[in-house]
Amino acid sequence: MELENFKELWNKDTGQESPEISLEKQREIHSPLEMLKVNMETEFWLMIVTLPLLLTGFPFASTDSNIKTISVLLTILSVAIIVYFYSRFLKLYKLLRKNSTNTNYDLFTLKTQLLISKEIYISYYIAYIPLGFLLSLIQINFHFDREYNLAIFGISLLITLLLIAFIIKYWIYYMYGRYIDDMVRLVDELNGIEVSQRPEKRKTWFERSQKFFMNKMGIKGNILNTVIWFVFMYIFIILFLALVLVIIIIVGAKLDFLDIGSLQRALNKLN
Amino acid sequence: MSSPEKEFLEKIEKHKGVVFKISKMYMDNKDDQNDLYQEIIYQAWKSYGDFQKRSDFSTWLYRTALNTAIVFLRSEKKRSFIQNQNIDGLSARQEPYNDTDDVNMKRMYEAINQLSPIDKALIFFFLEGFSGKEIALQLGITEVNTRVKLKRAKEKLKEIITRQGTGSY
Repeated sequence: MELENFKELWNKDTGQESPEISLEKQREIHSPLEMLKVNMETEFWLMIVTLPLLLTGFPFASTDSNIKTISVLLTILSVAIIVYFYSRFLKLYKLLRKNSTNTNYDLFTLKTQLLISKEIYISYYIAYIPLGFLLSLIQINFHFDREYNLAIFGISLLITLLLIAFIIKYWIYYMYGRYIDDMVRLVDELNGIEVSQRPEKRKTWFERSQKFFMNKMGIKGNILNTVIWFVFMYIFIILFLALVLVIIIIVGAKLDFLDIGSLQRALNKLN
Repeated sequence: MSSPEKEFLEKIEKHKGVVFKISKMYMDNKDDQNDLYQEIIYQAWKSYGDFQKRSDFSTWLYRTALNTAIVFLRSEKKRSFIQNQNIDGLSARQEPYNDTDDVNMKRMYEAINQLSPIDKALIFFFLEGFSGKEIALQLGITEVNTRVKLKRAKEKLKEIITRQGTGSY
């Protein structure tokens, strides 16, 4: 075979079997940036709806008017931070629609914008999580001088860090990171940087459900999938927190570094 | 229909064949090829305002088409692969020619489909008769890098064809 024969075949193919031209937007998402935009938009509205509910209701609900006021202030502050970060992302997204100069430049710009968007996203999570953490300390009437309060503070901090790590590792990866990885690989390949083979991985439940819903409902399916997993994540986080605390208490009691009676008294004082 | 829209559709009409050939290079089944084709047209229309006749329309369109194809996210729909696709899709051409051409063309696209997105772009420019310098300009890499990459892409393509078994081509 000779590649010159390919040229001959290529020229013979007129591509006349092409479908009708349509300037309408397709029902499905085919660009990674658009996928990110849809995911971020969905998550933005989810946060706008659920965060005020979370910070002013369960698990921070209180009859104390001071705590209520602080909760409302924190909610307003958190929502303002989210709105700010989301508006920054939209600005970046608009910048990307500028005219292209060459493939490498376009791909590099896209890769950079995606990476910046990811950092912005991580920043806004990190920005509001300490606020929630602070609110929880106020809610339990935290004092350093009380027995076990230091331990509660330490454990809460550890759990918060675990949560951030979890969000960055899984949620961000499946919502945004995997599309960014593809872009990074393409740019590397174009610029002669050695690209390792991507290991074959089994599809995760998130990917399977995303495929299922997108297959049925297109873009709306993707939004529905995000909503379902978002709610599931809330439930998971609550269960995870409860489980970690139970394990710490059981292990602490077994190994005698935690006195159940004192803990009970400390908890009573908090309430 | 607005004037820019009419102008765009007239221009795209002349090049739709090449756009569809790009779709066939990047996607291995009919549904995905159609989706990619529509996506390229949509992306080109969206950025047509920025085009401003700064370069040749065909060159700009090819670049837009390749950039869209390189990052295109395949549909999640279950689809039959080109191997199961009947030859009808390939026979609706203006120019009549024999079955051997149809089969060879199908095999050519099957072979190109197995390349990486960047290699496909290089092979596209090669098949369209672009020089090394022109390819370098379009891809935004050095001429030396282009030559090396194109050579490797051709070698990979030859390997694939050898694996497929020798055909007449």
